Amino acid sequence: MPYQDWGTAGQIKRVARLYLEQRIRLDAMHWHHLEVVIGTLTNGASVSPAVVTVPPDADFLWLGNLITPHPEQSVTATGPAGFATLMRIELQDEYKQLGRHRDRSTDAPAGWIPLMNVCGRGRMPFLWPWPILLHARGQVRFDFLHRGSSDLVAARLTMLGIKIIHEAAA
Amino acid sequence: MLDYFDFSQSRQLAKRKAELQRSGYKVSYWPFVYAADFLPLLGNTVVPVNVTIDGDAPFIWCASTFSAFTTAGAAQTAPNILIRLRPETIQRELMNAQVHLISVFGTGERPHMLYMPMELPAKSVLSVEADSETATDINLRLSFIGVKVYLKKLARAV
Repeated sequence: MPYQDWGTAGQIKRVARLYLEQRIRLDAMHWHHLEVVIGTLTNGASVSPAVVTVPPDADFLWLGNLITPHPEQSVTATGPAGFATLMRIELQDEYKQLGRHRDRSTDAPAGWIPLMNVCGRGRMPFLWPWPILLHARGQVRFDFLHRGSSDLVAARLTMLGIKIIHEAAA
Repeated sequence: MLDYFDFSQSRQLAKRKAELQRSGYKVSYWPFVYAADFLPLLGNTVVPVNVTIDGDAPFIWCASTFSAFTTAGAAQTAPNILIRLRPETIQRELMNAQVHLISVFGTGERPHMLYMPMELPAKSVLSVEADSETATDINLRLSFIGVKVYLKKLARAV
């Protein structure tokens, strides 16, 4: 049983039922990772964007996030010491952000989420309290901003989830 | 086997969704993160920050996480900071005194999960007070993780 029991298995069943209620035949469901190769984030540099596209043959139920290398891993001298990385996540098709968006009333700047606050690692992934269903070919845009004590090298963010292959996707 | 930390938040969210649906709403949940940033929290100071819930939807707060760094960029896993939280709408304290940061905030790996999610109305304010008990200036970022609750009133048959 994972530490964070958001009832993920129940959520997956719930989503499967949604397809069946719409009379869409499910061909397969299996775990799947969408990898965001961040690469090197230079300390103090401006925003670094990355866009991830859901494969065209299936929908993707986004359950949570992992980050590697994790700050507690011992890597290189310029590794994740000072993992003060911020990110903005936007679902391109929905024009929605997962962190506080620009407030139209005050026009406050768009908010950033500290990466370490919503990413775990393999043995303890971070899971969203409610999963997000991304449709085939849907895109998620990440913006990264690194404000640590050194550069962040060879970083990868993993979106973990379930690939849902169904008759309507292809 | 049930985990000690099985707060079954998913079931609680699903239950709330069903209640709203029975009241005649179409409900959709949207994972969302509200931030309270102290940039920096100066050493030995007490700083209040208000988190205002957006006007487009109420928010069900499920978990809290933090990250903290010295202003030079060194990670702080357990900075000596005390916290007080107060949702202004219900005018009730959530604690009888300040509590230590790591007692009510976790990390991305191990978020502090509320044993009972708390619903905050749209446009309401959550007051957050951070009290630094250390001489070091710290960039502290708190995340309130949960779901926005988008409601659409369904037409009723007559």
